[in-house]
Amino acid sequence: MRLLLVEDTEDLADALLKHLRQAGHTTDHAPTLKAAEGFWSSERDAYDVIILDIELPDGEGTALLKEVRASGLPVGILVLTARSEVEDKVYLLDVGADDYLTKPFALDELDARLRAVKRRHIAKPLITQQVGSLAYDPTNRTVWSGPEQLQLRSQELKLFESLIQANGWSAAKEFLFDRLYGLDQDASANAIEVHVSRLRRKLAPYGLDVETIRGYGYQLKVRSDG
Amino acid sequence: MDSGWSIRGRLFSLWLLMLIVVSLAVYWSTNAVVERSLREGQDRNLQAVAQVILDSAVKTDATIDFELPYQAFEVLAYSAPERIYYAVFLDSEILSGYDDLPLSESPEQSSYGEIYRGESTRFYVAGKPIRPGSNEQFRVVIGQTETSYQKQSSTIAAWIAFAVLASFALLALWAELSLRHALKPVVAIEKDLIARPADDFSPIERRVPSEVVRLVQTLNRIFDQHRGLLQENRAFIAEATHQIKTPIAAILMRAELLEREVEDGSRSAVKDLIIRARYASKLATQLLMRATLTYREVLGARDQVDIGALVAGILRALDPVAEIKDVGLVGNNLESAEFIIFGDRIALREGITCLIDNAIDYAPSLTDVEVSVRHDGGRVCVTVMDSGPGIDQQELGRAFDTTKRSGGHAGLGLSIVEKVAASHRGELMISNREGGGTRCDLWFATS
Repeated sequence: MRLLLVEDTEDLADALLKHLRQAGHTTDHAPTLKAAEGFWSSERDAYDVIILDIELPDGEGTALLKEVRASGLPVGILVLTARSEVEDKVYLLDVGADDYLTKPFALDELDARLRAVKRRHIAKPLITQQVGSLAYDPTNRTVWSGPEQLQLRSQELKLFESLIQANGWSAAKEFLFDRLYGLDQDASANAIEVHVSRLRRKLAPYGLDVETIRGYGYQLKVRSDG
Repeated sequence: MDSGWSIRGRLFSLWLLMLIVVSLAVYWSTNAVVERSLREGQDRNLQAVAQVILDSAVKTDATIDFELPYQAFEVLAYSAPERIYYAVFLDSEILSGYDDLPLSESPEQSSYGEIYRGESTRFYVAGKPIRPGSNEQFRVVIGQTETSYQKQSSTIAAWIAFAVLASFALLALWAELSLRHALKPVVAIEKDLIARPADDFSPIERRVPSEVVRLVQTLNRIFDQHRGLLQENRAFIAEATHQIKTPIAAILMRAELLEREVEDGSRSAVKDLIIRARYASKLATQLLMRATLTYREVLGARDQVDIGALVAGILRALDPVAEIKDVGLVGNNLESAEFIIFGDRIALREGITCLIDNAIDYAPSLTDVEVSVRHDGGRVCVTVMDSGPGIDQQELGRAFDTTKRSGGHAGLGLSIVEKVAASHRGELMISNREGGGTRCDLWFATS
């Protein structure tokens, strides 16, 4: 992802930049509102997500937020705030932020919210793979029900993709385990059952079922009534 | 506050009492004056008749010359159809008329009233010496019944009563209107204050009567102090939040980055550092949240909140946090109906967020946190269940203890939830689930 980090606190900005770059994101850093507006005006088509601190030394981050939204470009905005009052957060969402993170936060949470914010601004492509009543977009790894995006967690999405790739056949449990956790990760033996159960719950309203093939694995099926 | 009486009611009662006393006094005094005036008129007529009769009595040396002047009685006949009695005496010897007419008890009293032949009758007695210097006297007693005078007096009394009652009604109406008018500025101030939003502490600007100027000035001073305290509180929370949370965020982030870089042997020490930094950060957040809730309680902001929709929004916001721990968030029955309560949306959101966040903290990976909302007995209940370790029976009572900490989790969360419940006439009940885990029932009154 191409990111713009707008954060004035040096320690925090350094740590965030290091983490984001290690995670493979191309990240620009603006320590002031003026610098952020400079980045935005010169490369407005380039950014996927802007990580925006609200309290900046030369003004409120909301000024940039409004400017970005006024442009109409599909850029995600994740606001960082230290403010505890929820009305501030509600206001931020009202003026166009996709999500907010209250300081302090864990890096894992930042990653999870970045992914979710990025997904929100992906438009439904013209060509998708139809799975029952759902449409799967392999390029952006998104699942659609009509114009609405289905919110699947990372592990659920991997599981869904693996089941689609089985192309109507059943997928072995060991294969799915490797796809979800790789070879190095420790995970409990029932992890796949839990994720299958959660995916099943999310797919059920759309007429899809994940059927258990006893002693072997799982198979994605379109319910006859679905 | 006891509000057993009203200024308007009390002033009106005093006005009314005054009016009753004045009306009775006016009635009685007017009635007395009219009666007296009628009586004096009758007495003057009787006196005139008596004088004419007296003048017609003449005594010579040998004879008494007396002829009753009937035309004199016509004066009395003009006033009304009454019975007339007379008696003419030479000393105590009756010369003409009724010999049983009652006489005045006192020689000085010339006019008097008596009951004669069953009727209230007015008498007048007059006398003159039979000749100048003589001790012998002609005396005339003339009487007239008072039936028509009494009727006339009653009619006038009735008119006076009517006039007094009409004046009374008009004055009572005037009293009510004048009181209403006089109290209008006070009522206007009351309406202003009632209509104000809970967080409006601006001074009362309207023109007020001099009698309540000091009261309004005192109110404005209290508003001013209150506004100052609230602004100070709000500024402190915002400043403290920024000053505390930003460095903690930097520490936490650097520790997380360090964890990835250090050798395996040092990793547990860094992990411990991260746990402590997270504890400190959560505690700071929760302390500031408690301060915010106290501030919001003072504000008293309330509107209609659909708890089901609120919980659904909270679950969406917390999903990335639960995903990191690989904990499922399952919402049951959230938007099947409206679960409306009257409360502070912000405080409710924070309280319920704390409760679910706490359950995510305690829930082991690959388990679910289940959240449901239901109506029960005129209340709305949010139930949050996890499959965590549960709470020891001995610890159940201490669950809200603000000083409690366990396994790196800050213990303020449940005390925040309880504070939010209490401010919405609700309660938080915690129990252990059969088969493991904790069940929290958060109740709110619906009105």
